[in-house]
Amino acid sequence: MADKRNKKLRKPRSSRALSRPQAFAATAALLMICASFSLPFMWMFSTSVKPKDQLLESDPTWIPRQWEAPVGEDGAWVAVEYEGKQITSELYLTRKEGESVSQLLPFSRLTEQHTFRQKIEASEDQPYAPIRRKLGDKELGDWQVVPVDGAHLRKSVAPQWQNYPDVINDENMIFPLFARNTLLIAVLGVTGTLVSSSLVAYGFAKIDFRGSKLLFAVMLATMMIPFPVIMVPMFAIFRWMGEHHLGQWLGTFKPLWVPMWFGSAFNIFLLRQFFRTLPNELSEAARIDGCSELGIFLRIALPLSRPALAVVALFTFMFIWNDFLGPLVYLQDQQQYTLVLGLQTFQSQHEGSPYNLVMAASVLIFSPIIVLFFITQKTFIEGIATTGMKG
Amino acid sequence: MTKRDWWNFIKGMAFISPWLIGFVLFMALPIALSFYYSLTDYPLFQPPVFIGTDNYERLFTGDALFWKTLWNTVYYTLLSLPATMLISLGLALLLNARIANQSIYRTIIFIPSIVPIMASAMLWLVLMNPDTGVFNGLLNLVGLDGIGWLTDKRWAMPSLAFMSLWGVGYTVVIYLAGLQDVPTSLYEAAEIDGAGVWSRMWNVTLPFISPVIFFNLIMAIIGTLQVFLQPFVMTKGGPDDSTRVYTMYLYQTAFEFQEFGYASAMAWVQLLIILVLTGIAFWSSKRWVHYQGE
Repeated sequence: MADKRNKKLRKPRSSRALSRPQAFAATAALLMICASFSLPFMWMFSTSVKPKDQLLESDPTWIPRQWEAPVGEDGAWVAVEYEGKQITSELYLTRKEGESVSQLLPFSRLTEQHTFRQKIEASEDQPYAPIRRKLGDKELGDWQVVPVDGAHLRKSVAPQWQNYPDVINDENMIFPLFARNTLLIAVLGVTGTLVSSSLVAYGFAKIDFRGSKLLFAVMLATMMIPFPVIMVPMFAIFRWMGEHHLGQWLGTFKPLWVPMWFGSAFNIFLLRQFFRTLPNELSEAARIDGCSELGIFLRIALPLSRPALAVVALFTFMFIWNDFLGPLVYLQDQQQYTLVLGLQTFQSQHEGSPYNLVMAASVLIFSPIIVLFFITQKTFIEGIATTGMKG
Repeated sequence: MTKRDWWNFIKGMAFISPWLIGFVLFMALPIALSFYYSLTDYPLFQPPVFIGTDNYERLFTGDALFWKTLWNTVYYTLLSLPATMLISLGLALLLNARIANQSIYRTIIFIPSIVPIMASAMLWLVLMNPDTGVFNGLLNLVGLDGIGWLTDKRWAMPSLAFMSLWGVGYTVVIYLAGLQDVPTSLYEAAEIDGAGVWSRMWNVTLPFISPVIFFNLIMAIIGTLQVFLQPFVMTKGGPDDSTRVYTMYLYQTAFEFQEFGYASAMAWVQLLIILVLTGIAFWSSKRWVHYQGE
């Protein structure tokens, strides 16, 4: 098949226009599919701004809400119902700005009462004040705030934007540090991949030398090698090197980025497909002018290949950003964690309890990718479309 | 070789030398070592001791967990791979239809595939929470009882496969590109011959995009058989080992039990399985993959 560079996803084109019922059916199907594909995102975002209390509600709701108690002249009355289990939480009233007014109802030792009522003193002059539960180590989802004697508790819409700064400043999820680590690996890795893969791809695409077909086939075959085959002995090698003072690699970023300076099969393949579409006339002319092969590569091939290089940079960045097994195996100190590894540790330390913070962190980790996607949408999609093309 | 051939050979080798060096250092050497380790007893903190094929014998005859995790991986592949292949092709066909707002639909279907897997694992943990998750909430809404998506051993693996469908966008885009290369003239000719929708699909579209199907199939086989992160993070292999997949057992053997020799043997078995399966795919491709210009 002929090479197709700049594969574009054109306007829809099939054999003929659909009939109206067909078009209607297709649109309806797509709308439903798109709704179900977006549902997880909406849940992720909505959960990321939910108050802690709401996470425990067994009847899932989409809108971040919280209980509010009416504040009268003599304070607010609330009651709590629970079902005979030990409660390790505390209930307290907060001001609108989020500051706690008075911490009350510390009923950590109550196990038998079914209803517990208490007056909450609120000095703030506001008709309603949000009620929060301060959750202890063990969370219990089966107790709830109930109205007392005609008091109208209400639920108000209350997105907790504070969850985002909270997770960024959490001492277990050292967001700025993990982001810095990930970016450092990404910069080194992406640069290395660009330099090495483009050189190698040019060699395979534009220089006709003995054995090049065989070596290219070998290179493609390496894509099938499962990572564990490499990971176990590499770990042993790095450990051996450390023991024999040949360089400390384990517990550093080196295993994650140094190999990227030696080209990666997938990217070499991608770039080679692109280089092959460049006309030979240009390089011939340059050669006659006395330009060296390296000069042709640097001055002609590379500048013409910016879109393909962008695709490679993008894919490599995403690979590093998402990589989990590599950092899991080679990094040892929490100070070196990448975002993805940090998120996993954060989640497992808490056994998944602060969903809202885990979701906020997930949104944050996803956000650079989605921004990159929208900035580079065209390049991005064309790049993927090219991967499916046979050489 | 002529002088020019020699010169080209040297130039070519110089250009590909980064990959050649990397191939030796980060591929060939570890692969060879891995094979050697697989024939040894190698508790990480002591030197490897040669024990012949004992590791392989232990794998095949004495390790129930090996078979269990191998089956789990196969089961996941059987659930996820055909569904992914079919659904992504179906979606691509839909997205290639001539209707309004396709670029919006395409974007929405594509985006989940670029969510970092860790983030989507976290998200689906929340979605599938038996008590507070939205899936059971929706089931309750239509009057059904919720299920233990990841906590019931009958459902845990199907749930992980179900989750993989969310990420089909990448494959869909590759299919879509293939579909758009089908020349309109072919459809017109088929139509003149009186071919209906299914006949056009079967005789024009599918043969034409068969190389793309083949590419996606190979990538899916390689990727699916190495599934690791989702079960490792979401179910930790449970409940009752029902989602402990092969790569996870391998990882634990190496880095938790520190049996590097045994883990290497497992890695080689995995390599051979992938080679055999892709080999079968390549062999069968002669019958059903049609390259243009042949």
